Amino acid sequence: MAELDTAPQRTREGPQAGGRWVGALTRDRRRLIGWAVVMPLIGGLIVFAVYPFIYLIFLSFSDSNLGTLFRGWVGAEHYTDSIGQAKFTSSLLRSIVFALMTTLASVILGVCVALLIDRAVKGRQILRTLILLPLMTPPITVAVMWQLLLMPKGGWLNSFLMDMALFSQPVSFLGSPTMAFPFVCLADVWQWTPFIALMTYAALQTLPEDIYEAAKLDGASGPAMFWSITLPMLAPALLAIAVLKLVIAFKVFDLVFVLTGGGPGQATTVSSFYIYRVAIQQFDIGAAAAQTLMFAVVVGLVTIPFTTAHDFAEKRLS
Amino acid sequence: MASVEIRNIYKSFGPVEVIHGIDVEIADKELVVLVGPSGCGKSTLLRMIAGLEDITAGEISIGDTVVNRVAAKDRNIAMVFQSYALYPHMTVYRNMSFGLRMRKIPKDEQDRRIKWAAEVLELTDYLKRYPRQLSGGQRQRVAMGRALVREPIAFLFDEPLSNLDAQLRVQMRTEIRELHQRLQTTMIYVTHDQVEAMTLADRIVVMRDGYIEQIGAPERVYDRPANTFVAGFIGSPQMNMLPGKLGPDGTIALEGGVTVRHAESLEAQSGRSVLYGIRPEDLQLVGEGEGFELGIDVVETTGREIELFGNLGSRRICVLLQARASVRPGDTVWISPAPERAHIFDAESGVRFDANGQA
Repeated sequence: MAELDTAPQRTREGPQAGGRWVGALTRDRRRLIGWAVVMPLIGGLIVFAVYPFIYLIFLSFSDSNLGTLFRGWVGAEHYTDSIGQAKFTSSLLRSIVFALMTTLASVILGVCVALLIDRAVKGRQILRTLILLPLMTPPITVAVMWQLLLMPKGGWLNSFLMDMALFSQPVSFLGSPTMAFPFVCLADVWQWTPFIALMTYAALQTLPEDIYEAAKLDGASGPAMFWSITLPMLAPALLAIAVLKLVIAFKVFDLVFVLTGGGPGQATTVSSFYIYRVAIQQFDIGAAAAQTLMFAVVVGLVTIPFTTAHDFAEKRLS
Repeated sequence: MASVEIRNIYKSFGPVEVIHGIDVEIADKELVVLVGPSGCGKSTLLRMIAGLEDITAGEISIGDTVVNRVAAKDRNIAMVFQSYALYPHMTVYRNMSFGLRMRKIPKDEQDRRIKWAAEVLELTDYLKRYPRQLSGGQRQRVAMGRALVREPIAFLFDEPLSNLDAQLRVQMRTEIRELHQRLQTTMIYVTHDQVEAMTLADRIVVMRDGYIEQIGAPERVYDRPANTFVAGFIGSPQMNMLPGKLGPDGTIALEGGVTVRHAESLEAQSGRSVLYGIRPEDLQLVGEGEGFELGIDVVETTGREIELFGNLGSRRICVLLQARASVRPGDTVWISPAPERAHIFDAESGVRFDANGQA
């Protein structure tokens, strides 16, 4: 019985004498297979991300135009010049305002739509398909459609406002320095709200039902349920969606290009459009590269609070 | 404090009827346990009492009020969920105060109740923690605390101990029983664990497939199960169930050529096919030649008791011995059932023969 009471000795090596050598070979092979599996991804990243990024950095320190790249080195000149240009810095500010405003508006509206779909007893499937329509429409078509809606002559909005006797003569919404920017924002919100709504709806489905039941028994309903239970539990998902929307909004180009061409004056010139002009209309590729990098830093700085808040909200719920 | 009356309750999910006309009366301050296998409708019934499920037909009253159309939040009932359902983004304190805040209870009163509940449940040191920072047992206590501070008229428990380990389950079971004695509030408790049901309940409601099989005090359900289902479900190890024929003189001829005695007055039913039920602990080892012979093929020891398994005819038999015995697999033992502990059921319907000899 004595030997039964003694725990069997565990050894790290296998019963065979050559166990360690066999193990080492297996480890090497495993490592090799690992590299083989990740190489396509690393290769793709180098070709499509790392190389263009390094190329962009070099361009930003060079005197380059559309015809000839790298005509000479100019040091940090493009950076200092750009920071000194009010048109560039105001375009940066406009991009930040555009991104924050459209993100806030689409997230609020998206959450409302998602909650409505979630509550809908019948026709949920049809609703989900319908709200996807703006998302499925090509951005250029969206822009053209909004242009037609907002036209001073024959545009739906002008006809409506005049029929209601609110305006006596047609207004050029996209031609007005004060109204053009809000209307570009509106078109963007219209286009992206369904996307936010769909993502939020998906996130809503992951919230545990029993917590809602417990809250119901605790006396919560309507707004109290939303503010105390739904919103805090949805926060990590919403913040992640907001980051996504922010980045999308910073990249806006097509809407501005078709609706206003950046005008009137500089009223709707966001950074992405400004940089396009510098590169394609002024042919100054070097300056455009420097501005692109500075713009990327701004995008990063604006999204950092959101990603930090996301991490915090997620940690709180884990 | 309130009584709960369930009258002719039906529940359907679409075309599927899951509860088929149930009547239960739960007295004020009573602890009633709904027990049954998975899918028997016990949780659905509890959720209907809570107001989390609509009632298809019938009536539920809490106190003197029919609550069929009263929203869950207005029933003043608290429920402890199997998953605890704690609010993950709130501290223990805020979890407990949530229901009070929703009901606009003054702050100092909230604080008084939470501190009292925390003391009762030994949670005082954890009030500032989040649920994720607590163990399973502590989370369970917070869920109970959240119910407790509300001072509801009835507590509902939906398998609250299922996610705990065996040792903690026993400990929490005792705590719930103590809590009931201390609070003297109506409690309805759902479980599939018959040991939990037996140890906790003032009365047990045994359910199967949306019907009630038996309602009664734990001892009554154990000692006089109404049918073979209850007999098999309540008690561990299960009651031995052996087919046989009633004889004219208080005997039953079992399959395998064994004759046993019983203490019921069933002379009029002589010749009828029955199921003879005897609990493993009501079988005793006797001297050779007494009782009947049983070849043992499995011996299981728990330390406190010994379970012997063997075959009588085509049926498996379990004998539970409280005392130490040197029986080994392959041995043959002689066992004798206590006649007054026999349970006799109609072979066809499975219903127990009552004192008048009626199934």
